Amino acid sequence: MMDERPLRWDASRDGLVGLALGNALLSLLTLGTYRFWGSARMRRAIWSRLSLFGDRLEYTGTGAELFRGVLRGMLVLLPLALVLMLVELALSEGNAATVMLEIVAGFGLFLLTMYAVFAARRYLAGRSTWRGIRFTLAGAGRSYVWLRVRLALLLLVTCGLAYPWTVAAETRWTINHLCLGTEPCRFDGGARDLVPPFLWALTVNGALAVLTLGVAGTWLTGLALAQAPDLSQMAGPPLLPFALLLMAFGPGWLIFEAAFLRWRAAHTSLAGVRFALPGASFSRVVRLAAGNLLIIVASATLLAPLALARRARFHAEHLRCDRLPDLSAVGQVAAGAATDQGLRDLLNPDPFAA
Amino acid sequence: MTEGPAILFDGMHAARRSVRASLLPAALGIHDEDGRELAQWPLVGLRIIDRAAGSIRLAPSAGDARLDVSDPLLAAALGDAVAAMPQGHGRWWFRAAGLAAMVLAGFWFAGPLLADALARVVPASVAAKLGDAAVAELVGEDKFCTGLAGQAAIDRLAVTLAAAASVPTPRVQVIDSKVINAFAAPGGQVILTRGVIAAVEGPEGLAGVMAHEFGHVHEDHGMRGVARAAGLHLLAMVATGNSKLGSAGAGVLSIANTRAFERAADAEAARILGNAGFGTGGLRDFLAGVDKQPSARGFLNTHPESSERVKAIPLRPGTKPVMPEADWTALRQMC
Repeated sequence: MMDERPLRWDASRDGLVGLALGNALLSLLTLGTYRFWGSARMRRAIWSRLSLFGDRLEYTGTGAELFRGVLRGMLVLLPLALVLMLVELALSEGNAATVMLEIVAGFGLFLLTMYAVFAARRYLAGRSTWRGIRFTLAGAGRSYVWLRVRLALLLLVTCGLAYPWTVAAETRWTINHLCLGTEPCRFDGGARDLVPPFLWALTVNGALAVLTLGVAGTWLTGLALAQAPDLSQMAGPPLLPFALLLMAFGPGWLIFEAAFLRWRAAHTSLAGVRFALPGASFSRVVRLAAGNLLIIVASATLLAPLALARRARFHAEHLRCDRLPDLSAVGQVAAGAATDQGLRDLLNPDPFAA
Repeated sequence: MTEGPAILFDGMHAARRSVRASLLPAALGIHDEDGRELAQWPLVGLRIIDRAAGSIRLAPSAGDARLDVSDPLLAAALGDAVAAMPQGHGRWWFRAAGLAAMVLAGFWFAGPLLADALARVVPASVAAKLGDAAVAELVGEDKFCTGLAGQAAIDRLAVTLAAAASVPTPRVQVIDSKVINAFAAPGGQVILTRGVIAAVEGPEGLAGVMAHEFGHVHEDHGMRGVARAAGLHLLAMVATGNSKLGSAGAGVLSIANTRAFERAADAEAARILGNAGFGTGGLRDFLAGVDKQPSARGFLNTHPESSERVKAIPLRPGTKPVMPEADWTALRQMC
């Protein structure tokens, strides 16, 4: 029976909106410099409102660490960018060497971005504690990067159809390397469960794209015939990228997102305790995503950290487990290799990440 | 002495341990339920990790141990006692502001020096390519003016001014645009617009504008400007974690840099015109009149106040004509 609530959100503590507004104001006044400190304060506030098995989580990272992380990231990126710029300038445009250089640089940037994602996650895990015990993301960065390279190639050769398998592999790697102190998390999910929601998402987005092309195309053609005959040529090409965009990022993906959240929780265990997220229904995930989008767009991204708080609260309200475990014997682990999220901040693979 | 129940996490294992916590004169005492002392955490250095209504989480100055106090009276007393202690590192916002100010000041003073040093070591071929790219961007859809006699007149004037400026003769081209602008690209090529030739009142004015651009070439402002702008955007990335606000700030600072270059180029122009034996009146008249021209908006955005610039250029008559009348006529008709 999945009737225990492992995660709770302390709704009696308000002030997150005020904190987000204050951070946004100070970031504006300091041309963005304050955002490292603001981000650390927001994480501390969100973590402290979350209780896992009855005890509050804690975020131990600091703004100065985030700031130093960006400085370190620059030490990596700057020489690379400079050498690349000078080499590119020295080569003439359009020749084979330049094209090769651009391909190599693009691949290098992909590798670096994937490493940045790994380093940022490891940093976040290492700065999150429960009962004074650190979370860790074990495993080597190169193993994660190599996995992402293989998954990207798989996506490429299957024109995206292998997406459920790539999501499953990435989730499996991440959760199987996540530990609370000496206690590892376990994940046993396979991609098969993700295939039906993936196909549903593609179907819904495809239908929306066809509908958009049809309606807008008819409207534009009518407009063109009424005004100037040559405008009719506009109906096709400008709408095509929009339709492709709809296929890639359309609302149908929320079907997949809801199924993914339920699937991830259902296949995760910690110290033999199994989890479930039965409340992650399509309608709730739509409400969560729409609310977050509204907050981000209406505040011109200044209040984006509130979206993170809403996601945390969503999990706290809907996550269930089969029993409350005795984790007294879980031991502390060494602070681990120093990583930070500086590279991720600079490469910006996900501008709304916390 | 205030005391009450608390939960201790020792930082080594995830066990919850029910303890008694007591506020001592200079420390937080922690005892087990049988009264045995487990630890004393000095109040100096004691950290408040989290504080909510009626509860507090504390940690010693170092280590992973935590103490959760849910007794409202004890929590309040401990919170007040820690707040009354001298803090070793000052307020967080004070440190953050200090750090940001240090980085900004470092870049503000050291940045231009580094950028200038970098500009000096950029190979000429690379600077020329950057110049070509900048010219292509500036010219856009406009065409180059191809009148042979006019181009020959410009080339002769360029040779005279380059000798006076002590620089290799830059390539000077005119584009068919009514916008009033002139531009010295990295690598030492100069672009004039039809608009600027129309706006100057005679050959002396054109010599003044060209001397100003040759001043940029002499000071290598094109390459230095590129290096400084890149450095500022880099600073924005570093200091703000790649935020758009930072980029906007870098843009504003770039204009401040550009204006400093313009003042330096004016001073150079006065020197070059003097060496060539040309008067400075034409340049002064051009600058005084350019404020009133709506098509000079691009020029004015990146340049200091014209009245201030006119004052900075000494009025000196020429000792010889800039070019024969026929050359001037050909030049005005070259587009």
